Amino acid sequence: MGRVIGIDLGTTNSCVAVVDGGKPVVIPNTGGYKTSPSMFAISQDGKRLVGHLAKRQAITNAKNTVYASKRLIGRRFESPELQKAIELFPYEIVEGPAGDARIVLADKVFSCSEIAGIILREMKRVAEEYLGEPVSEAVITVPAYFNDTQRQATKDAGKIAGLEVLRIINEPTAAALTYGLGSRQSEKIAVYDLGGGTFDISILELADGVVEVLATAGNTFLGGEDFDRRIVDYILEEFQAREGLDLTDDLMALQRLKDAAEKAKCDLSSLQVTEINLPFIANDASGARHLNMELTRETLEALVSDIVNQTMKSVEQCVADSGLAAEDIDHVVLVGGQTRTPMVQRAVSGFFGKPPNRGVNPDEVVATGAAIQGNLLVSGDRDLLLLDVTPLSLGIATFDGHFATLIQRNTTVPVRKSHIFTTTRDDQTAVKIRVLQGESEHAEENHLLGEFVLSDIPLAPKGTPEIDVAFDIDANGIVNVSARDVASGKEQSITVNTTGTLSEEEIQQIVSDSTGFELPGQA
Amino acid sequence: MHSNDGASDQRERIPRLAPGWEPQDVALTPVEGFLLSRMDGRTSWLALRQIGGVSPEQVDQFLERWVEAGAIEFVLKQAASPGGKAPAAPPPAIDPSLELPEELQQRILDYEARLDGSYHELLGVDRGADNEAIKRAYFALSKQFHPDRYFRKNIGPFGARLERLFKKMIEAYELLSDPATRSELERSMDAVPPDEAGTYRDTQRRREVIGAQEPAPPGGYRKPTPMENLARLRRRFRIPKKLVAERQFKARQLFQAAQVSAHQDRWIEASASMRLAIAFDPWNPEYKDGFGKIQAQVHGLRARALLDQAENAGSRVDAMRMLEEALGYRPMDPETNTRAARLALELGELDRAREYAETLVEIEPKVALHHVLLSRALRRSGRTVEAQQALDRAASIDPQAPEVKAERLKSSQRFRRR
Repeated sequence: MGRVIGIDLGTTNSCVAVVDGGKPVVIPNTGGYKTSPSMFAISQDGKRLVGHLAKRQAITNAKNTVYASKRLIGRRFESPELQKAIELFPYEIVEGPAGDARIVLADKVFSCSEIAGIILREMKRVAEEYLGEPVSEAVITVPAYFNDTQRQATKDAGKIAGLEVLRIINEPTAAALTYGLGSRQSEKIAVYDLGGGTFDISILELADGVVEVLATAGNTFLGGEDFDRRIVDYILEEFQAREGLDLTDDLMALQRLKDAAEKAKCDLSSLQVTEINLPFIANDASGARHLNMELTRETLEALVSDIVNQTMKSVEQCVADSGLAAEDIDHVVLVGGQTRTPMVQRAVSGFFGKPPNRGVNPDEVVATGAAIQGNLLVSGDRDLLLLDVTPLSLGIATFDGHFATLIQRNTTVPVRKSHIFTTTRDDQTAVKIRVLQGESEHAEENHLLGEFVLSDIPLAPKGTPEIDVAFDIDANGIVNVSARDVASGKEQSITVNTTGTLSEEEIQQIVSDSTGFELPGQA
Repeated sequence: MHSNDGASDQRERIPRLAPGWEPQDVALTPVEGFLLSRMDGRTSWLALRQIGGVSPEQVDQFLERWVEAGAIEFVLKQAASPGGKAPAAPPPAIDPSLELPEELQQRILDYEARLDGSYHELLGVDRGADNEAIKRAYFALSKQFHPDRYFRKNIGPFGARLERLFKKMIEAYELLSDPATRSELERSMDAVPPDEAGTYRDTQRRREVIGAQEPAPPGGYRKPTPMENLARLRRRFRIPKKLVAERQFKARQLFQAAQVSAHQDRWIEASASMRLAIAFDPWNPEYKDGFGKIQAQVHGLRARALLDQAENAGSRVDAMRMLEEALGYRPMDPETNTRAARLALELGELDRAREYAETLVEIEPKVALHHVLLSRALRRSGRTVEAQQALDRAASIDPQAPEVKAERLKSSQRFRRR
């Protein structure tokens, strides 16, 4: 049997790792990079491009290049997050048949799972090339706040890529697993993950080789891209002040500015000052204009300090949720490229009173952990065990629009919980069970996973029938919800996890469509 | 202390009423009636010992007696699960063909046998163990029994077993690692016999009721009521909510049982259930209200039974006592008062006879007989003028009534004798 790869499917970059000879190895792609941009494009001549190739032509082909599609996966088209994304992204987003978001590239409509599948297929190809053998199984990571629909859409992406997804695990948990290898005594770990598009903080405990999540918090719209955007806005203002030219509506200029901003940000992680030099950024009556300016670390820190402060508020909340104090934390693990910024490191080490661990590259921690979990599953390793948890609370809607929680978030799986509900009208013969996921007390603010009706309840005065609603999550994270009328024994149930945004036929269709479109290897 | 190994097999079984045996044919105490009403053909002897209200010793005592009397029989195992949800597990056996060391299979089976024990036993920790020790125990057990340990291994029926074990372990860990629920559990261990303490045989039984909520299409959000706010505060401050909820759930079950019994005119059972419901959840006005209504019915029944008994009583004195007791339940019942008045006259207890007759006149002034009874009591006490007035009232209501005529005759004879 082939080996199980671990894939960190990131908002901006993806990374793949495998356990080889008992040790986790991050696999470089053909270009030698250990991470690949999570980007996909269809070039002007109709070629499909992925990763670095897609990124390189993104400037000139902005409309047909997808980035940050992880922000869209498994979300409903009308959700505020998605509407925000439509505003921000240069590519076209339309509504899919299931109310999901679809992306239009060169007049072809792609589902988000399909885009993610293309990126995953690329990671699979990188691993196969490195290992010299076919790969068919993977563990894929997702942010801790991903709900079941988003997780399922990610699983579908794996299927489209020709991978059997053994587990979807949380990114912070994976990061902790990386550091948990070989650890014996009890340790508390804080994982601070500031990636391209999202921020997560988790507190985990590692004891006797068991990893347990104590608390998680975060912000889904906060990350390195916000740093870039702040820099871009700053440059735009400066340029307008100096040259009297507004570049805000110039797509090409914007893409160049974005790239320059990202580069300047990275430079300022080691330098105090850097130069931004973009010749021929624009034209006007007086001829070609060039952008040339200096950016200091001080200016950058002034631009982003409120973003960093915002992350630290989540850190405080998360530590409080875990029932610990900052000084109880034994290790601080930084994840995500944005944590290379000195200001972030200063803020984190200041809060916890200790410098962060530096063992593993922050870009590679998560993929490494995913590979370790994959290996743990199939090798029967008895030294380490991951106790996975439900990321969000699960429950049902009650008649008054409230959310009745049956399984609290951060509950270890597998788990079974049940509650008795009853009717509110005399001789009510049917109840509708709406299965929701989320943390709001108001049902409509939570994410609907599925619904079903239990009917043929024998006639009885209100409040008399006993309807036993049970939530059952197995070790694979599959949620089964059943409702049983205790008196008549009649039962209805649904398996929630089978409802992604794509049907099984659609997935098969995509898989067969994309053969023959094999992507070219990296240059 | 209660476990008697010979009987423990029997206690796994599910008792039900033997066909043809009518509980109405025998006199049962309310406690027995209550226990009888719990036997629904689905609840095992063991579970009956758990339901509260009747002590486990009493349950054993009653059930053993009823088995002997042929009043109950045992349900066959298969019939125990109507939904076919939990078919009888195949006999646990070590299977060497599985990808699971036999020694480990044995350990899983051994552990499974402990699932019925207390949460402390489940994690293998002592009472008073601190959070750290509890967590260590839970982690150590997880490493042995977590289903991920056996991912893709051919472990046959042990797969389902492990999931069940693990879910139960999580439950124990959750309850014991919360100081509030742990201390409540330990307190409950002091309050009940040791082998009942901290024991919940079945997750299913640990359900709570979230009030009268209908899972229905979403309604609008409304401002939470004070009760809901209180519930939320309780959740937030972690008052031993699991136990409160458990008691409320039990109370609800009992309340519903009471309603069912009442519906079937089994008022004494209903009353026993309702009384217990109030004991479990004393602040629920619904229960108190329900209890009042049921009590009225129960009193009626008692009074009726006493009237019947009085009819066949060995002596008139006994009969009088029964009628008086019946009047305690239904002081304004005309029939009871009439019989009591007649009997009191027969016994020569004239003051009491007059009292009953006065009550009768008060309840139903338009009935001639009532005035006749009063007249008779007054006449025999020597209060002839008042007696004559009462008799006149009777005559004005119905002069042709035989009782009136007879009384008139008696009264005139007396005058003549004088």
